Amino acid sequence: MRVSAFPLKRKQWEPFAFASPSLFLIALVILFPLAYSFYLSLQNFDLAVGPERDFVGAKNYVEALFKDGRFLGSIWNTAVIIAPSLVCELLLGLGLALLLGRMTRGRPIVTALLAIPAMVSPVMAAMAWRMMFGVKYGAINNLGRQLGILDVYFDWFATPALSIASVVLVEVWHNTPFMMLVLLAGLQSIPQELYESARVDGASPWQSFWSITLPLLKFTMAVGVMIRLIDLTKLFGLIFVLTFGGPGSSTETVAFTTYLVGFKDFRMSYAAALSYVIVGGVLVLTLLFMWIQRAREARAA
Amino acid sequence: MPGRAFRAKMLMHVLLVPFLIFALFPFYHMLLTSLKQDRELYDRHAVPLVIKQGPTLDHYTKLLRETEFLTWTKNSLLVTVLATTGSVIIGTVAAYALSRLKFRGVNSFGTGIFVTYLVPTSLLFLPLAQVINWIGLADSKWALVVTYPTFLVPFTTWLLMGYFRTVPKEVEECAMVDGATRIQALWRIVLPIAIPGLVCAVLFAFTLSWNEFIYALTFTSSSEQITASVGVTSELIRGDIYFWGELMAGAILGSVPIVVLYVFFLDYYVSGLTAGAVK
Repeated sequence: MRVSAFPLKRKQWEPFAFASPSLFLIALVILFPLAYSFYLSLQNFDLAVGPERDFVGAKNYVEALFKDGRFLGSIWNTAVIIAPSLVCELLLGLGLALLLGRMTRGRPIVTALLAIPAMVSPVMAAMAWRMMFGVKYGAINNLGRQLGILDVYFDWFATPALSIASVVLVEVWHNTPFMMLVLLAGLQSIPQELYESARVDGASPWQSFWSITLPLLKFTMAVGVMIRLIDLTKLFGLIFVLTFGGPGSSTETVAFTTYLVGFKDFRMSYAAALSYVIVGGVLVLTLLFMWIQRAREARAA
Repeated sequence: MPGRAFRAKMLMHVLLVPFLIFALFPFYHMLLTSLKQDRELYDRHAVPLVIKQGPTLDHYTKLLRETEFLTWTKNSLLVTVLATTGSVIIGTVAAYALSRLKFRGVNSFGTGIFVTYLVPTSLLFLPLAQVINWIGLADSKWALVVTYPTFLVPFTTWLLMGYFRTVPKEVEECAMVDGATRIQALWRIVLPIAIPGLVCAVLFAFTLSWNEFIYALTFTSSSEQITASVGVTSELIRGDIYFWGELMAGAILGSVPIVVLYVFFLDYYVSGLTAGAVK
């Protein structure tokens, strides 16, 4: 091995000296909260009741998984928001990346303009859309009325289905640029010679898309989808500003429900248990995704 | 055939136009709202796409004079700069250790860092809220300086790890054979090569903390301590009343620094994505 060929090995302490401050800090800021949260989740700590707490075992977990209709509903809501968002972000992002990839002039400026939505915070993005969706003075309603498309002042968050659709629209607006940038980066790493030789062999653009671009972009797409998937399980700011979970609890995501349980109801232990259920779910989802990815690669090879 | 190629090119540009409008219209609308007089803003028959009754800077002056917006922005800046600097330094050292040095458990540690990305924010802020109470930082912006590294350090470490792997090992090994220490090798050889990666890490960390909402919302509440994103949402929305003009003025002033930063460094952003995320 290369390591032994150099005089690096004599300094055995070096790796530890380098790694220890950051290891210590990461352990402190990650492991301690994780352990403490778990400890908390096995108790019945409820600040609305009082500071005393007792050990209750898995009671919180049983409640979360089998009895709490609101939390189970929020898992479903999160899934219903995630699925269409991911599909739209992937397809739009891919389309835009392909269009940008073929641009010869002005690409940097157009890319930058298209990427702007991803740069503002979820809260600001939600605020801008909340105003446009406004019932009485919102731009969408006013414009719709003035153009004769709408005949009432429409409430875009009136029903659960509409509310979810509106959240998905804002989410897609906000994060498609991220997917576009990831895919554009992936697209640019595909060697141009492949396309040239395909053209010499008489392949149509459509054929070279299916047999060169798509297979070589698959891994990048998987990474992009996975990052978005994990981020979407944490969806909070958008919901907080846009719908505050309503109407009813139809747009309460898992992150939002946990926030309400912890910081509005002050049920600390139960919120910790919910968080652990979410970690478990996200972990399973991620492993499943990686496993499918690996299985498909193995089959392709 | 040039006619056909030209038409294809035209079609491509035409296809991009609706997306550009979709992406940029909300910003245009934000700008208009922040510049409109209230009279026009709350007029149902006014056309939302233009300013007809003359622009005004009222909302901006109100925002700056009658709210604590400047304090919130200062808080945001302080928290962001300190948390970013600290996290990037720690992340650099950790990433270097993980990508270069061989020690037991290095791989599982790398995986562990990735797993922390899966952890929902709520899992961390519940115990952190308690820790903050213990150390007496409740309702203080310093609580944010201390807690933001919980998500910034893993993220920058992960990003820089990918980047350091693309820097050839041989260069620094040569330097070390010539008598340079490990720290000199990192400082003089590796870091200058990895500058694009560092810029990218700073950019990401800066944006993540500037835009952060949930920690800021739970850990701070008084007007002198909150950051811009919390201040704008909590003080300019009173129950069902939205001060739209001021809200949009605040949103624009709060977003401009980030957007300028990004447009300026977009190439670094894309190269960081390639090195960190894609590879």
